[in-house]
Amino acid sequence: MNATLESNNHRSDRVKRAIQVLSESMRGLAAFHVNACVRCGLCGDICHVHQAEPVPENLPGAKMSKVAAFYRRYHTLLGRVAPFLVGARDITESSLEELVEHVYGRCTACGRCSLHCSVGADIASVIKAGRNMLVAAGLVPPNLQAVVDNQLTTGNQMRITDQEIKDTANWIAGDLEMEMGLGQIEIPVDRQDVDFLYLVNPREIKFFPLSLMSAAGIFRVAGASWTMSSQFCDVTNYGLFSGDNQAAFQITQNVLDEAERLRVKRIILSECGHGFRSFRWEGPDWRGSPYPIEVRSVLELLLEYLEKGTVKVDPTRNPERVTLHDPCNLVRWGGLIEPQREILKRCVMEFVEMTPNRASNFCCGGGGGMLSMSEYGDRRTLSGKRKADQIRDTGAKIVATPCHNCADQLLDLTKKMKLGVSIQSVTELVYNAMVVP
Amino acid sequence: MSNQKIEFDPDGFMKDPHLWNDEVALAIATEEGISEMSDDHWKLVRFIREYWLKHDLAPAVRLICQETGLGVRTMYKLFTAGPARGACRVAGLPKPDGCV
Amino acid sequence: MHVESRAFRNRTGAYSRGIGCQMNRLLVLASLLWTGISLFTQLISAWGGGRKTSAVRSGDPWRGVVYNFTSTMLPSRKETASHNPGNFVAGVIMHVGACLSILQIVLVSLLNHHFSIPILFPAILLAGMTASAYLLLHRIRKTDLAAISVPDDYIASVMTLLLMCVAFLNEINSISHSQLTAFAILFFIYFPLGKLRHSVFFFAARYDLGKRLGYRGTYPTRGQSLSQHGDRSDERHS
Repeated sequence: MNATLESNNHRSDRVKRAIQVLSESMRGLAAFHVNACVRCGLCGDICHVHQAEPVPENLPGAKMSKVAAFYRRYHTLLGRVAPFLVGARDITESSLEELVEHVYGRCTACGRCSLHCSVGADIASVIKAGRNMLVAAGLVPPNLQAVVDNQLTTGNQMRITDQEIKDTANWIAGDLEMEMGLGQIEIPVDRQDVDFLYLVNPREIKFFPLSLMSAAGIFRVAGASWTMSSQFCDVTNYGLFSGDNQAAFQITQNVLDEAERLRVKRIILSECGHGFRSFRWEGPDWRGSPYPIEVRSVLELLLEYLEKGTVKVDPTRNPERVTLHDPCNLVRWGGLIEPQREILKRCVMEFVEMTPNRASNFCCGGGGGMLSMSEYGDRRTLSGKRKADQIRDTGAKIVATPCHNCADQLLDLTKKMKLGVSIQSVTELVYNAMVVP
Repeated sequence: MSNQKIEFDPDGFMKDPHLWNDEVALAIATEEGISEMSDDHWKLVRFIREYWLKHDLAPAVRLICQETGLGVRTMYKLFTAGPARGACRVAGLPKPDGCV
Repeated sequence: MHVESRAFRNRTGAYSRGIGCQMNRLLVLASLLWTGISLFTQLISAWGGGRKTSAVRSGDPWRGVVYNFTSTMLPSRKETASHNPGNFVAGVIMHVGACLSILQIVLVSLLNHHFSIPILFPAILLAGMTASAYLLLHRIRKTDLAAISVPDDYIASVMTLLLMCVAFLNEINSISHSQLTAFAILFFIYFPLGKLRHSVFFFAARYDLGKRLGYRGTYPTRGQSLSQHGDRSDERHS
């Protein structure tokens, strides 16, 4: 009896927190968009998930209405007195559990629907509010939560030790020396008083070092003064994906503190879609104050090198046809759209755009934390179909991808849908074309 | 597959990594588009497997390359899907965390 | 063009005056006030002081807002429009008809004043009614849409259709002043309660997203924004 009572109390606490967070997340942002939706149902065709699996649940408007139903119940008159009329729903333990699949499992929060919505409702921001709620209720899918926890406890999403980071830096530097023949090359770790702190996706250290190697090679030629950090090396921020603003803030602040400790002048972000969005745009808002330091993407830095002639390239070294994937969080939500194009036009012989492109690109299917949630693996692969078709249509041999998260999804698609393309970061292509003095 | 039904998660990683054996590895390798597992393939896979059994973690690519004596670029030729979704999968590991 | 402007007459030709009429006007005024105040309150509470960003901007927020109220609403930039031309055209016509109807009904019920352009106004209202009926049928017929629809969606559609019917009947002098007024009161009581509130939140939403994406430099967009309608790979194989 007591146990039941206790668990009921616990439950109502969780529900109470969710109700509280819902109103906080909605205010000043998502509330406009929830109230603008007229459920016209025209958004299905815009969404890569719905295209691959056209069921009503995959309509962006339907996913949004799952969150909207809660909003209406607590924030509108009809929702309070006659919930059935407006499809309003109580927030309960079970309705929250149901929401998980809709906002995490059927949506990558890519926001393509936000830009094409018939009334102009930002559907993705409402989905985000739904995720905020589920964080408060402790219902984040465990595999996604694990990555956030890794970041908070070990400083990076893959639990790489500081020793491993140093050893890998040395090892890559050794390989680079052999490849470039420029004598001793160093990949500095934890060096103070340098120009910039270079944040990498831990994937570059653990599994795919070619992009880090390429960056180090380019920095060597450009004569850059830089460092990596063995404590907070990570450009990613899975708090953005899970909807955990508190964790996201902490992850951002850890890096800023590290930059201060190393007394660097700026932070350069390696190619990462959501990392750029988090550090560049959301971070200052999580903090509630501007950064004391400049934050830029490596793409902007590379373009600067090329424009100034600090780094010279020979496009004939990339003779194959190259196309470019636009990561949603970098392009649509990050506004970083042209530098990668300018770079590729200088570094490759034949550059072709996908259709559609830039802010209207299709998500690769692996965004929004989808890549780390195995439980939705089948849907993730399936929803990459549109991207696979886009790639095939270009006839390209190389897909340049300024995001490691997208790169993994595209690698998986290449394998499963037999695309016969190679997936490379922009940095790798620049390194490939670079004329070593 | 020797009378035993092996289950995979939707990402293609083994649900019960302890059911792994050479036969399973060969089957996954075929899925990966590896027509024949060379000595180098086996060397990589066995190292990853042993490391995981000891540390409950996939080894970093540096360790893999240094311990097997293979270059990075060679490794990507052996496993085109890379060490995580390629080699770790063949070695019967569960899916590594994060952006992979 | 002949513009007709007259005080409202009922079917018998007599001007509506008298105490009953004054009472009706007051009720219309009250329902209009209710709509206005309610929508305004909702808007303010949704805004909640807004959100200020501390990030350094890289684009122009105001250009983003302008862009989000112009180009992005056209089929050349909006896939919901380009992939569903029928719905887009019907939607535009329905909204023109509805806005005209609201204007006329307010004028007639409140100021007893009828303003019209013969042929043009009845034609717009007829087209609006047709478009509205088409969209309602679309909602009922399409399984996808029916699955996400709630009673409010049908109520709103029917109310909008009725709104234009009333305005049309008024155009052809086939509705009494009291009937029109009664509808006006009912309509404006319902207006802020259901999804018709999108009439103000549409502006808020477009303003908010336009400003945010303008600030970040995403808007105005360049490049190819539209994808082909339907399944491309099937086309290729056929």
